[in-house]
Amino acid sequence: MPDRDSESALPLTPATFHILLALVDEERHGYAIMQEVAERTDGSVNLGPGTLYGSLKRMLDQGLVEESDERADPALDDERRRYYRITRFGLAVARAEARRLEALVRSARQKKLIGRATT
Amino acid sequence: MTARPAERAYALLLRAYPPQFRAAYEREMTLCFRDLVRDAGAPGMGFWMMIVADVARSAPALRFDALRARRSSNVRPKEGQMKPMGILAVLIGVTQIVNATIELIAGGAALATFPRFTVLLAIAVALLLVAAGMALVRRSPRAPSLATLVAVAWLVLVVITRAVHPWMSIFTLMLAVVFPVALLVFVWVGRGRGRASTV
Repeated sequence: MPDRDSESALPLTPATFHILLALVDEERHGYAIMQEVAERTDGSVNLGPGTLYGSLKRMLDQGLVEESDERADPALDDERRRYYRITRFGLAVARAEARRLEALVRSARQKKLIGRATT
Repeated sequence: MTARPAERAYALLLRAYPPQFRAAYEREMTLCFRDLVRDAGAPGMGFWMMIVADVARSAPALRFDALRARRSSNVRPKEGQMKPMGILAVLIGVTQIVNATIELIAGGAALATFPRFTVLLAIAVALLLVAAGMALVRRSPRAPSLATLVAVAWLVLVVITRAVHPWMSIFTLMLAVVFPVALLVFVWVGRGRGRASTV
């Protein structure tokens, strides 16, 4: 997918970006996405089921994610759950959003709103 | 609150979401909720406030999305019927333009101000009708609203013309009223069909 298309999907809502980040390394079902986001943000971002599935619906419509299959998660129970994975377009959009946020942070640093990142 | 009554309460909250969304995601959301309840242990006031806030935040936006989707699908009557209706509208529009122009030329300077105004109005409505017909042929999303505008303008024109030419025959009057009414029915039946198909 060309860069122009991925740029046109920006800016992403925080929920959409968090969901894309959760799906970058592996496909997950809804609750696993919620857990990953909560763990990665030390509990500061907690997606509720409505926000999660509302965002997933829009992301499916936009082609950012796709459904992979339905299967049970042995770590939870025997219920079959719908798994979601990031698409190539979704990956391009996530990269473009990360670059956009990076540029914003760079501007904030130049204005001395925040200090230099520690390595 | 134990898991089952909590799920029943959550099922009530889920009614805030649009039916299409519930049909697609209710089961998944209930599973998520069940997992949340299990991990929360004994869900207290804080848990329920989080759940209610989540529903209050997401349901109106999804309702709005569903309404917008329904509106955009409503403005598309059946494709197979749009083209013939569009062609008919263009033909009637062109005929009316020719007819009104001849009337304008034939009347010349002798044509009084008010009749001249009605003839010019007839040309304007006919031009709009041609535009609406072409939009219907092209299946433009704006076609139904344009067709509605033309049909209403046409009916107003018939009333004005009737005032100028009170001797207008019942047959001509019927003919002048039938097409705009048919156009309105076509557009509104199309809307109704779109509404039914999205639920």
